[in-house]
Amino acid sequence: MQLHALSTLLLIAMLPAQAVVVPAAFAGQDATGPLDPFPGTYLDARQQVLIGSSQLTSLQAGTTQVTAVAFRRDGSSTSALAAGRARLVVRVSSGARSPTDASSAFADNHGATSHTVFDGEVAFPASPRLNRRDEPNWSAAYSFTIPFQSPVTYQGGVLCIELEGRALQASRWPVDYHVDPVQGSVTRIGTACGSIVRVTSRTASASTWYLRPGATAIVDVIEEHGAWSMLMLNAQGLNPPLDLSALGAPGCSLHVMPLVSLPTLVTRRPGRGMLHPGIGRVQLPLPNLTNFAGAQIFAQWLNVSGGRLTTSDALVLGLGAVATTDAAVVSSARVDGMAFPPTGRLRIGAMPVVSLRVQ
Amino acid sequence: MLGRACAADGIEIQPDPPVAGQGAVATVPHAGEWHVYVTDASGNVTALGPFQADAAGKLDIPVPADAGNSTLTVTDEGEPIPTDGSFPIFSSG
Repeated sequence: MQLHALSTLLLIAMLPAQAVVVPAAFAGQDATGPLDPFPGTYLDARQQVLIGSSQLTSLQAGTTQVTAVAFRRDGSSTSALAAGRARLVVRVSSGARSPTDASSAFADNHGATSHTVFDGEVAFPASPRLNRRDEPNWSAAYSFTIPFQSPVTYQGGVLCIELEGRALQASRWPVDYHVDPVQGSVTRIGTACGSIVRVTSRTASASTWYLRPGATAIVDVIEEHGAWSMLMLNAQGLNPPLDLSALGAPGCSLHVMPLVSLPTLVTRRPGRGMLHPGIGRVQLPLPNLTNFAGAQIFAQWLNVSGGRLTTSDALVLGLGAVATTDAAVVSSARVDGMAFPPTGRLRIGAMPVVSLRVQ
Repeated sequence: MLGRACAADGIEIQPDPPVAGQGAVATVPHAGEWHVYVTDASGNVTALGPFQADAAGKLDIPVPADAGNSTLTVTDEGEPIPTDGSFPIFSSG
């Protein structure tokens, strides 16, 4: 029996390594763009890539060994790239959570057993100026490879690749990502009130790239540093809006009667001057349900600063379609020198273009 | 003479430096929402946008005509550390 196992291992070792590019359509063609900074290129961050089983049909469950993963430079920016170095830890598991059901919590997405397959330094190569977008290929000038110190056997199902990177020699090195092109929409109603209008009258905002079922919507407010703000949500708006003058808030209007309220503290980010406003942010996980596609959410911020009540402008958040690409990415915030956070932004239908080295 | 803007955090802008009253295109590291601030010589801050970067990380910024000799800051206001780029604005004429 032991002899049989040894023979199998020897046979696997003798097999020629192959490269499987995922998504396959971009094996020789530049994909969408540089979605999230790759961990360790010029910032410290954690990123998790979930590759759906429909993209891994050429891998044999229980047999195929993954020995390395390579990433390719994005071709939409033609500038020459400086070399860089990062300390990376890579964990891989199979049988992971489905991309369409992925969580913004990294730990929730792994399969039953995750393996640390790499812990060491990775070099990002100096890369020449591009003459055309599709010029980057998988050669050493346009890609970097993470060789697994412990190859991992693909056990079937979703493949989860998690990367924790700390920049050692910072370099803006954009990795190529495929992004399902569907976005949501944002429509503004009214204007903000209070002293913040010296900075802007449009204080509420939301990224259309995260307005789709299954994604984590991000809704921001620009306000005075130290303000306490509450994001008010409803499926319907108030028309006409409610004048808040009687509540000591002249010029302020309520466009959303809150069905759900989510509080946050407005803070000024590190390095900002005293005259710089603060930002409040709420992350809102959206259910990955088909019938949420096309849904509308009315959103408005109610702020309390220095004992005064103010409001933001209101937003109508229109949710886009469900992603069709069988993949997802979870990316943490930038955490230079600090611990990697347990959660990140979830984007379903997106992934870096990877070349899996298998045998 | 303001000199060439120094790009931080992988953010580039064209033209470099940006010119008051003209459009500028920033290349940013990721798609989505970006905040853009103009800070004048006295430290007063005005917010432009926010603007949406496309999936290729391109961000169109209309630089105000009265923003000469100010500083343009492009940021995702990420937590806990934002990704930022700051650029002096050249006064046209």
